[in-house]
Amino acid sequence: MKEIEERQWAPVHGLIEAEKTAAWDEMGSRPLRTVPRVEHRPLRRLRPAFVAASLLAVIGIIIALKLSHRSQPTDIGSTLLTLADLPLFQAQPAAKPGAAMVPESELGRQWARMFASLAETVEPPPVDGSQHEVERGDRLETRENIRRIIRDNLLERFITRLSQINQEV
Amino acid sequence: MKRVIFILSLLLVWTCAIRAETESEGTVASGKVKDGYALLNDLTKIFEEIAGTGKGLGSANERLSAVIADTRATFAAGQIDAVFHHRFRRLLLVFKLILTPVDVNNDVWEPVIKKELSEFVLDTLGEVWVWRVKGLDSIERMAAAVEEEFVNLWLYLDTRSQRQELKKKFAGSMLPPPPAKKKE
Repeated sequence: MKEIEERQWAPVHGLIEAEKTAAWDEMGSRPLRTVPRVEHRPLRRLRPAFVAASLLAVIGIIIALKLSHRSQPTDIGSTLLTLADLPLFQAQPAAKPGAAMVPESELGRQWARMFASLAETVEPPPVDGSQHEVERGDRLETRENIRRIIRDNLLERFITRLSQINQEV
Repeated sequence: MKRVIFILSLLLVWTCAIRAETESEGTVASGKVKDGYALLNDLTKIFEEIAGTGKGLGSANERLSAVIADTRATFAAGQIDAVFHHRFRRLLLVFKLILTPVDVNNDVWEPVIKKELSEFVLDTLGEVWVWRVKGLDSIERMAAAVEEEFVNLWLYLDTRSQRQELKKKFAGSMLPPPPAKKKE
C-alpha cells in the first residue's frame, strides 16, 4: 500500500482543526446554567399559602397541648390515688401493733424501696384552699336533713326500693 | 385554592383552641370546693326521690358522681381533713355499691359488695352483717349503719374546734412541772 504524503493530509488536518476551534467556541459561548448546579432552597418551591397553613396548624397543636397540660395539675382526682391506698401497703391484721411490714427477701426489700420512692413522687402537691371559692354548707340544715332521714326512715325505704328495682331488672 | 387552604388552616387552629379550652373547663368543673357540711348536705338529698317515688335512679347516680368529684376537689383544697375525707369517701363507696345494679346469680361485683358492706356495718355498728337478697333485716341494719355514719360525720364536723381546744389543753397539762427552786 502506498503511503500518503504529508502534504496530502493537510486538508484533513485543516478540517479537524477547524472542527476543534468551532467546538471550543461553542463551549465557550454556552451559558453557565448548563453546568449542573443544585439549589438547596426547597421552601422556595412551596406555595406561601401552604407554608402559612402548616405553620398555623403547628401553632394550634402546640396551644392545644400546652393548655391540656396546664389543666392536668388541677385534675387532682386522677393523682390522688397513691400506692399507699393499695391493699398491699395497708396494715395487715396479723401484724403486731407497731411493727412495720418488712419484706423478708432481698428482692422484696428492693421492690418495697422502689414502690416507696414511687409513692413519694406521685403524691400530689398541696393545693392552697384560699385560691378557691368555697361553698359553705349550713350545719343546722345538714342536721335537719339527717334528722328527717332518720325520722322518716328514708334510708331503709331507699334501699328497699333499690332492691326491688334490682329484682325487677 | 390558596384561600381554601388558608380558611381550612384557620378552622383547624380554632378547633384545637376550642378543644383545649373545653378540656380545661371540664377539669375545673369536675369538682367544686365545698366544706364538710355542704358535702354531707348534698349526700343526704340524693336518695329522697328514689325513696319516695322509686324513680330517679339515673339522676341519683349522676348526683352521686358529682358529690364524689366535689369531695375530691374539697380534700385537695384542704377544706376537709384526712379523717373526714376517708370516712366520707367510704360512705360514698357504700352508696355507689348500693346504687350499682347487680345480678345476684351471675355478677363479679357480688364478693366486693358483700365484703365492703359487711365491713362497713361491722365498723359502724359493731355487728356482723350478712347480705341477703330478700332479707329485710339486712336492709334495716344497713340503713341503720348509714344513719349512724351520717350522725358521726356531722358530729365530727361540729366538734372539731372543741376537740382541738381539748387536745391543746391536754398537751399543755402534759408538760413537765417547773423545776423546784433550791433553798439557799
